[in-house]
Amino acid sequence: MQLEVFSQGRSLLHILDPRVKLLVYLPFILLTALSNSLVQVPASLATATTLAGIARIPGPRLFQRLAVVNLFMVFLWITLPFSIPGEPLWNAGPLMMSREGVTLPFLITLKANAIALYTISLPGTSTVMSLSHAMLHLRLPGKLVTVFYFFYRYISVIADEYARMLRMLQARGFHATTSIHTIKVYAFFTGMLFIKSHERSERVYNALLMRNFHGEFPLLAHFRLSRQDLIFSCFMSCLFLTIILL
Amino acid sequence: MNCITVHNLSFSYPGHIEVFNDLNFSVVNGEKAGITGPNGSGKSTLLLLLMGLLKKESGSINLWGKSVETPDDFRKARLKTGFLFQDPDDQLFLPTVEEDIAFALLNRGISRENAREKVDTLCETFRIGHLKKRIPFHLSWGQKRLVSLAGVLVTEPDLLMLDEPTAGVDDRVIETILAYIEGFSGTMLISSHDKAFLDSICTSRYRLLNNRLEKC
Repeated sequence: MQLEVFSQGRSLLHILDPRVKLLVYLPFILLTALSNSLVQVPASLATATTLAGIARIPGPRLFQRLAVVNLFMVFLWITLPFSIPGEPLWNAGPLMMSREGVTLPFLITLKANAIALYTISLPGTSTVMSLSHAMLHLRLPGKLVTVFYFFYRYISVIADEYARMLRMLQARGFHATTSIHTIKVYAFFTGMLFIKSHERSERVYNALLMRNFHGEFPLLAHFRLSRQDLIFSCFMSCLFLTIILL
Repeated sequence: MNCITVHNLSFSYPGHIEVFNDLNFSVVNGEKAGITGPNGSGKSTLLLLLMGLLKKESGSINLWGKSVETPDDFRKARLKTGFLFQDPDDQLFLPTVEEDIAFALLNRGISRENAREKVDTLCETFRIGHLKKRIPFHLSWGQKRLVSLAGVLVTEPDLLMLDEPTAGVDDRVIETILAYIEGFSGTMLISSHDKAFLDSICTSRYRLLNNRLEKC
């Protein structure tokens, strides 16, 4: 499934207990998101990059994901340097680029990439099901975890339905042009996608009820902390403290 | 004693599309009942109504001699029933085959050790042991069908409802399904277009046509 493309693998991060990964993930992303230090944020990015390396995430897929994140950064780089007042760096007529205006998108870009890399390397290397299970073990509210899992399950349903309908359109010779016909086809496509996804999600839910689902996600494979988990947690805790002290 | 008794059951889909109007029928304990009928005649709808997954308009449903009306009644009935859905993709959703098969057992509070033992035995019977660690969504249609059936049978239900169990699967898979459910001692309700399959398994046959269920 789309949301689990990085979950299969044999790296250290793939075999770690998902509870440990979540416990490491949260403080690191909070630190990255809240810090405005030009030392801490690059250090955090370096940590996240190293973790992605340890997880042996395939380069092309990783860059594909990061490209989506950085697409939004382009807009920040276009607007912020010229709209934030501060020490002038460059002048061209009415346009003035400030040092503060460059520093801010630079920091945001580093933070966004670091958080994306943490997300891919830590929770991303576990299946959504085991993450849901781990969340319940970490005493997160059951309803919240159920909403999280169902969101994932139904997003996948919509994505599958979308792919199937798109193949059907292509098989019947449709290709998009700038015509009313194309707009109509897309309108029907979108409407039908929601109707079919809704019906399918009802069937999925019925199947869950028939197997006595009552809001929990029991798993056969139970979590057990290994030596690797403990060593990883200790190392990451030390690293976290070091970054804070920088 | 009747396992299923349906009295004056009526149901319509939104838009006043009437599916059943005062439907009556019963299935005795241990009966292997096959339901045939044209597409859209309401075979799957009937199974869903019996399990409370669709809400009837009127009439009564009795399972094992007890009237089932409230969501709690249906929840209890589901604990004794195995339901195989028409599309295995609706049913499979866990990350590995063995987790998917064990899901209903773990939901019932059975220990992981016992669940694993039952899963292993069933995988052996269905010859899907080599698929245990595979992702269910990536299996072939026939394999998905076997895994979803294993996920239903693992709880050893008293009542088994199969919705088009042989649709889209090859002879080898049908043989595997047959080999297992021939030995099933509970009550069975199978909706299918596959007459040969029904002939080889069922002790009684019903035909659903024009809102009526007639014994063949």
